[in-house]
Amino acid sequence: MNSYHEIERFQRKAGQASFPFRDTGVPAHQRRETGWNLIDQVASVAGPSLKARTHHDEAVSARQPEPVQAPTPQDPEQVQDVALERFASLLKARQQRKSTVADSGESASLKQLLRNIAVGAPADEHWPTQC
Amino acid sequence: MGKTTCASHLAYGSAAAGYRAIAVDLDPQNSLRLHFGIPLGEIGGLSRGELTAGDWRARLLAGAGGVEVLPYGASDATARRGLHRSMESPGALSAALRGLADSEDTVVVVDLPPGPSAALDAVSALADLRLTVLLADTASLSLLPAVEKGYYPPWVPASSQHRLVLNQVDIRRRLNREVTEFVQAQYPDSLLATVHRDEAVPEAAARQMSVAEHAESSRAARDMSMLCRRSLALLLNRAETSHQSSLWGPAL
Repeated sequence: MNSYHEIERFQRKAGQASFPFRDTGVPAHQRRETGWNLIDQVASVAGPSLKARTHHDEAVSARQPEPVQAPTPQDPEQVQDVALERFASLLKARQQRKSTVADSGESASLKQLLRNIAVGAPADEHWPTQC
Repeated sequence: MGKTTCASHLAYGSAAAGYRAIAVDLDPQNSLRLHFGIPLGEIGGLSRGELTAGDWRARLLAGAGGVEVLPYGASDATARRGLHRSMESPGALSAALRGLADSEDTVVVVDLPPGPSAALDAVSALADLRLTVLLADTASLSLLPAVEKGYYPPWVPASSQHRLVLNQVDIRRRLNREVTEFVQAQYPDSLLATVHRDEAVPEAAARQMSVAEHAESSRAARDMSMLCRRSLALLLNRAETSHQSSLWGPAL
């Protein structure tokens, strides 16, 4: 409610010509008279240092983080060896995983086990059906 | 927990009921005076002189609502230690307080620092009514067994009454509601009043006036009025039997 017409309209509506409007467009710490006794008294005794501490309008200087450089390989051959080693390790892990799945499939597949449970057939000893 | 606010409203209520009301601040925070419109820059009070020196009546300041106020006063560590020591000497505080409560129509409200202190021990021996102001939370609740047993010194006279005040209760908060119900059920005879959380209370404090003057129809104004009426009723019953003037000490 900042414009003259809005204030006048409100005063007419409220039936009070001298309505005590308070300008809320200014931050509390910059106002000298807030209407609250204690705030006004504290503001009058607080020095400029306090005001500076409570000044919220100043932009905060955000310090940009320094970019972190990724380590660059020194020797291309060495890098290639590391990559090959890594590839071999991944390949080995994949083969091990495959063989494990194949072993479990030999004894009884999960589907087969569930089917056995459903029809009441004796379960394979690798898949306990009772706890 | 709002003990100073409750203390100030007890003094306001007593003055409004026609008593001579004196508010004494024994809390080094020195904030009771601010509830009565005394300027922030006013540094006078108890800590500015010897506890026993002179008549305390000469140090009273005229506060809002017709309440006479004796602030703690602006103090440094040395002054606080000196005042603390003099409170420990037997009879010093009681003589000074009795000097204030010199007539039957005088109500002296004493605001104490939180927790056990020399001031609490000294005032407890004199108070006709001791009020413990608590918040409706578990931290306050956990203090209740200690308050009921062992918190006050053993020399509290048997005629001195003790009551609880639950302050800043907000029934929309589950824990607040449940703690309030628990206290009501567990301490039905001790619970004197419940003061609900109301923005009008800090607003009144910011304007340095009573909540009744700031927002007459507010919930807090009604609660504070109830607290005063019940406290005065207790003191009147006590006065009828002993013919003494009254001292209150919101303790926590």
